[in-house]
Amino acid sequence: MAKMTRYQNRIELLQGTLDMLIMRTLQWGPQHGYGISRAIRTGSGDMLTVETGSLYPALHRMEKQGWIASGWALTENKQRAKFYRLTPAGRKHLVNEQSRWDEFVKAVGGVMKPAEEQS
Amino acid sequence: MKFPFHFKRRDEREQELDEEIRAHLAMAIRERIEQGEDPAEAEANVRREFGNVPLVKEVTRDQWGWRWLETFLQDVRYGIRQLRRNPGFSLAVIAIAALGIAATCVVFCFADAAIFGALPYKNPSSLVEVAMADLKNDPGWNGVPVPVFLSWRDHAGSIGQFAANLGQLKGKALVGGAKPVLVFDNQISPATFRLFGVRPLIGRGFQASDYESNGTRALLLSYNLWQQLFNGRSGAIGKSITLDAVGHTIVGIMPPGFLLPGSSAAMEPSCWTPLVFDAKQKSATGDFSLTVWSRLRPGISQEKARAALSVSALEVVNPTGARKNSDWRIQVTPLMDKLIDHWRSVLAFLFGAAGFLLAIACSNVTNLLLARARTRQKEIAVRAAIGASRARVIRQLLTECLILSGAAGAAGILLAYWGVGWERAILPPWFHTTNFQQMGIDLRILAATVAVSVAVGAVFGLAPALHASKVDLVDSLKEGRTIASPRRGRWNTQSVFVIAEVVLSSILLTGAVLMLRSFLKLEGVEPGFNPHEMLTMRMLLPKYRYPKPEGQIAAYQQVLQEISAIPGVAGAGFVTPLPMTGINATVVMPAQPGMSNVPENRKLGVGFHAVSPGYFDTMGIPLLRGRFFTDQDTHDSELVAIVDRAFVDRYWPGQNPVGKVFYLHYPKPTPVVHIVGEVGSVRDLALADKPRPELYNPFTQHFFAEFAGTLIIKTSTPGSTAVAVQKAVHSVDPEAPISQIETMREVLGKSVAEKRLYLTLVGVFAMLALVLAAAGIAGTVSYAVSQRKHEVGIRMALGARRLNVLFMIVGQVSTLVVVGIVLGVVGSLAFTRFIASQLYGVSPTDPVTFVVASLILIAVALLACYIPARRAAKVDPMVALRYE
Repeated sequence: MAKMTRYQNRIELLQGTLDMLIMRTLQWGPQHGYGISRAIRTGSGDMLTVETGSLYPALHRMEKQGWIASGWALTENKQRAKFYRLTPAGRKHLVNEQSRWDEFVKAVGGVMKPAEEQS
Repeated sequence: MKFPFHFKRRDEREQELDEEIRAHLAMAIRERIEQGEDPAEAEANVRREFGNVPLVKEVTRDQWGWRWLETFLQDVRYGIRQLRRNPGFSLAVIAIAALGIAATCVVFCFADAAIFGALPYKNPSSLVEVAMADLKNDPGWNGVPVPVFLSWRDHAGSIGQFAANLGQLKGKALVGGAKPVLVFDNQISPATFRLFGVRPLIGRGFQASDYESNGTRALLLSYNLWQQLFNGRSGAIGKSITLDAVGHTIVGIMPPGFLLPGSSAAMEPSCWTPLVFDAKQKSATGDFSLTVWSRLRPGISQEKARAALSVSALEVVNPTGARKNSDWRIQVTPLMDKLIDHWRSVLAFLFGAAGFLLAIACSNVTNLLLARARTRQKEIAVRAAIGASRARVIRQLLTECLILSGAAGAAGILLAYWGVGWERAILPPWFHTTNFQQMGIDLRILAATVAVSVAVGAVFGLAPALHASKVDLVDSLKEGRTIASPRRGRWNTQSVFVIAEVVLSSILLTGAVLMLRSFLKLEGVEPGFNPHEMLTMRMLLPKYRYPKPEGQIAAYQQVLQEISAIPGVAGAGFVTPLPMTGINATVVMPAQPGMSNVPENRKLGVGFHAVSPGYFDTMGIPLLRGRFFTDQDTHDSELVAIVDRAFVDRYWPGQNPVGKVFYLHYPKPTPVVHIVGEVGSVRDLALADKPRPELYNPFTQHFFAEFAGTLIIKTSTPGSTAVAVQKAVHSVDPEAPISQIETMREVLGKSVAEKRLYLTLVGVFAMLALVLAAAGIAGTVSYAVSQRKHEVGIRMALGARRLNVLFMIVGQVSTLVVVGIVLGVVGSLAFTRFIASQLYGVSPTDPVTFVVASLILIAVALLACYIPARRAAKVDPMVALRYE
């Protein structure tokens, strides 16, 4: 039981981060799944690659949670695709996630460089 | 956007997902081609990059399910696994809760049959009975004079439709079927069946031509009568039969169990004939004989109907203003209200008893769950530690309770199914109407029972769940402790439930003992006659067979002589009406000079029986003064009467009534009647009623026109004698109908059968309550014992004796029992007055009952303590110390 939960925790951490990245991407306007994955990849300087097996479940889950909404539209290349956009609830959630992320980074940073902090 | 997403059909969403992924692939390929890759190579790269398409689809699809449903199903799965791991506990909880639920369901069925089943008519809530209460006479009549009814029917159409019934209590001889039978003839006005929305099962109802004086006389048979006389053959329709020698044609058969409102199964067998008024009846404004029903029009209130009908009744009864308006009063009573009034107290206390049982079951189960929650603390702590919120833990525990209560509900309904069958089997005879015979669990009752079981689950689940979810992580997770130590607060919650069980059982038990004592008193009542070895048989020598009244009387006398000659018959008599059948015949006499306790209107209503000379001897009613009737008291000799002790004590206390005279107002004005004797009092209408003043006259001088009477025969061999008696009656008159062949014991049994039914129900509930309370106490003690095994081991190792240990454990619980009993006595004092109306000869605060109930409870509690406590005392100190 405990083992399973550890596994879940790991997923949750990744999911949380992924959610934040997706919403961050959608802040610039509606985007389809492929566009989101490309934006994250280029935005991170090819450091982060989002697996489609994580991306699509996340999109569908977030839509159900009401953070994003979807609709069909044509790309500039006349390709019909499913576009996602941020909902007001999602925008609010993103702000929270952002500040929590900042605190997390600061805290981890503090732990990782104790000597510099003390001096 | 959220809602449409949820409600999209699954295949539609499947297609969308398909297209979404195809678009993804297409865009990726196009981009790579634009960057100069070979199309085939681009596609291969994209496919590799994307990964396993079906797998991606599958993990995405997983997000679609309703989260709460998933959680719920997960909880259910987990709950069932938990419960199966502990089958003893689960079965105990299910069995206990099922008992409470079954008891409630059985009472639901009874109430449903009594209230909703009793009016099997269309839209019964708009039906009312309209009565004209006669305030001038004592006893007052409650019927409506014919001219008033006709005026309402013809002129009050804006108020509602009207129907009338002239019930014939005396019984008529119906000849022409398999054998002559004594029937009750209900004469009904046109459109009566339409008013009630009832149709004959086969054949037709009455039509206008049936009400013409020269038309065919139509007759409808009850279903039972049809079965009895014609074996249910449809050839019966159109057959000619005679009703008191008047030819009738059978035009239809009513559905099984059909009765007019207010009739009981005692009115079986019934037939219905058209109610035709002659000129004399149409002007009889003082004859309050009709029962009138109305279906009020929508929007007409009871009060409005009462006011309008009062005005038109006054015009008819009192056209000249000669009679005072205060002589009578119109009453409009919804049939539903009448019924509910009749059942209110009985249903209130049956529901009360079932409710108590349910409450005991609930507190019992709560206690079990509390105890178990404690043993599960480690598990719950683990769940909390790995991130389950408190709400989540509570939800999990409540789900388990719902599983338990669902199973208990199912088991309870199954139990109730048997319970209702048993209840049907113990119903007394006049509950043999369709509504009670068909009493059973239908959808509405099922729904009510399911609601009760869900409520029960929530009630017994919430407290333990709240308790258990408040865990101290560190404490509970410490290695090597499977069971948390009982803390003061916890132990107290459990104590409260034990006390509650004892209190509730005590109240229920006190009620049951009160009813038992009351019933025994009632059965022990001396009725004033000797019911042993007595056969009774309703019989009628139809008047139409005898042109002269002397002939009929001679035939009755001959019947009695023939019966007396039968070997094994020690005495025979004839009486009408027979005591203890609930048939109330009353005469009205003006007060005589020198009487005491005379009512203000100077009219005495006196119970009445017409008897044969041998009646008193056969019944064992003692002669106190004067003489019995003899064969010399004939229809043309001086009118004579015998009064009873209660009459003399009330009206002529301390005086000798023999030689005094009186005359009657009702049922007909009589010349002077001479009192020739005084006899002992009897209980006439019911065993619970104190003897009332009674008047007897010789059946040769019968004051009432004609009544079917009852033969009473003293014999030690009722079976063979009954056959011989019927033969003797038919040798005198082959058309004489005979019915209701019973021993006097059976008649008495029937008169208390309803009380016996309630006593049995409450008795069973009380027994179950005791068992549940005992189980609750035993469970608590067992738990305490298992908690203190270690301590007991140390004590015994240090030299404590088994008896000390026993006392220690029993002492702890007996405090709770004593507190419970004390509170139970207080509660009983508050509750038993609600059953006061059901009691006879016992006060609702009867001290003996309270002591007996408390002693029973103490005995049961001690037994329940002793068994597990003895186990504790047998503990081997070495084993106990090594334990844990």
